[in-house]
Amino acid sequence: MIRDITLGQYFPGTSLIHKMDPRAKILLMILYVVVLFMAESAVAYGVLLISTVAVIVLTRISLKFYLRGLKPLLFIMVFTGLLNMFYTDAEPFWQIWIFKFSWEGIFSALFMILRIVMMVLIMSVLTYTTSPLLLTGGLERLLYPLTYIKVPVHDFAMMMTIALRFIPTLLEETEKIMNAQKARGADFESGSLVRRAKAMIPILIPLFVSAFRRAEELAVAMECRCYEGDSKHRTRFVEYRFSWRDSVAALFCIALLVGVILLNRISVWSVAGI
Amino acid sequence: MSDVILRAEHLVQVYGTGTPFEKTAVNDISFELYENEFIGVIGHTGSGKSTLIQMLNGLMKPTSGTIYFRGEDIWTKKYDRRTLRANVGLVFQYPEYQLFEETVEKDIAFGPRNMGLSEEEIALRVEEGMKFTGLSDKLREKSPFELSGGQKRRVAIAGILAMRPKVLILDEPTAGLDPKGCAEILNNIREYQREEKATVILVSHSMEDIAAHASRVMVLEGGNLRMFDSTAAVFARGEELIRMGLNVPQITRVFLTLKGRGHENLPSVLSPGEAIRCLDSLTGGDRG
Repeated sequence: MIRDITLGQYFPGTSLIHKMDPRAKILLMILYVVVLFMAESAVAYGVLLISTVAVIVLTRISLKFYLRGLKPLLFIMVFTGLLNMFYTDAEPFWQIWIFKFSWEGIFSALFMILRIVMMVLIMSVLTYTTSPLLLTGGLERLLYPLTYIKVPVHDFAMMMTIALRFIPTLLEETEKIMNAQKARGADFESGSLVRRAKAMIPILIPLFVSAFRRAEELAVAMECRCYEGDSKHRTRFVEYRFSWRDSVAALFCIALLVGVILLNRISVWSVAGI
Repeated sequence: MSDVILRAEHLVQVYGTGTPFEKTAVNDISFELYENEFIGVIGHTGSGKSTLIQMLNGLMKPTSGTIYFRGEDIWTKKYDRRTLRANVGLVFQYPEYQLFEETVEKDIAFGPRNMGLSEEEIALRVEEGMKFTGLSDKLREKSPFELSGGQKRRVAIAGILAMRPKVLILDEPTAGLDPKGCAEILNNIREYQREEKATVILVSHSMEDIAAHASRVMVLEGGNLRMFDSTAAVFARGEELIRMGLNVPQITRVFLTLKGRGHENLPSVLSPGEAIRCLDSLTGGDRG
């Protein structure tokens, strides 16, 4: 039921990708997506597809979970694919009413879908292999320069960390309260819309009460450990360090970038050039 | 023996099938519970107690296996599981977190109202629930959020009792309460069981409480039903229980230790009173 919703999914592991520095992962993921959008030829797409699959294999997380992540985007992918197919201005080999079928259109649709799929996959690699804590930690460090223009980066990062941390807790709590009210004969599944909305009250009130209680307890616990926001006295328990893994990954991404640029030029199969 | 009220056959519950987090919480458990008996359930954290009790009132569907309430399979299509939940009342751990109404009275009435009872009947049930849990009439119009922890717990239990369940399941109803509050709540539950001839299933970590109230005890370990026997018989197997990370009542332990030191004719006892009577009979009542 509610437990099946996986938000900010993270699959613990010890693969090369898991052990990378979160800052490097975030930056390289952005670079990778840029490279994806630069690809214009079939060969470039082929190379990117192979490298994406290679990265996924390196994470040692079952392909099943990646495919599950793609599922909700199926509609968007089909929709963009169709749009691309019919709006490509080329010589049609077959035409019904306003729908023109051209080889160029079909290729362009396929490439567009492939591009979205690979983008989602590579983003999944980031969230699947990086714990939410490291993710926000990495983001905080990357955005740190913004503090010079008075952006409270640390506070935002802390809020995000806490929010992420409490998503599973609150989901669990919701399920517990729902079960407790069901045990008292509450009915959430039948009746009119108004009735169903009313049936939410016995869940929402206890949930809010407990959320406030938790927030208060957490605030006290943090203050007991002398938390005072972003202060100069505060040092880090875990210092992020770039390692050889990050260098290898960076070289790999740069090689991809250069490779894609070159392949776009050389290839006769260029799609966008038509 | 009275009639069977709940029967479980080969219950299995597996969580997260097909994920790396797959776990068998309950593994092939079968038993029969009778009307008008007090069952204790003990087991280490994660032994499957909570999963088991949620299956008994139809909140959770077993992965496989069947549950019969008064001889009827509760997971057939036309079976009314909402009525079942009124018949098999379940008090969750820390039930005070489920309170939501403006007044104590309204909160206790939530269950009976969901059962579709008449207003007079609901008023009667609220009264009954408050009586069984020892809540004073003055609290009726108060907000449940103003009450003390122990009082909130009573209101939550009263909300279940007001449905007049034939089977009452309680998941650690005394957790976090002071000793006096614990004893009172357990006595209230005992009273309800006697008056309504109900079946009570009490999940507890306090071996003393189990020994004082239960007539039969279930012992769960790692999702398996290791023992299900009379309270005396279960606590006589103290060493096995301790190996499972459980315990026996202190006085039982004393007697088991004495037995181990050569006093083999000592029986197994469950309460200090029983121990005194036993020692008296051995010394012929002479305490000099």
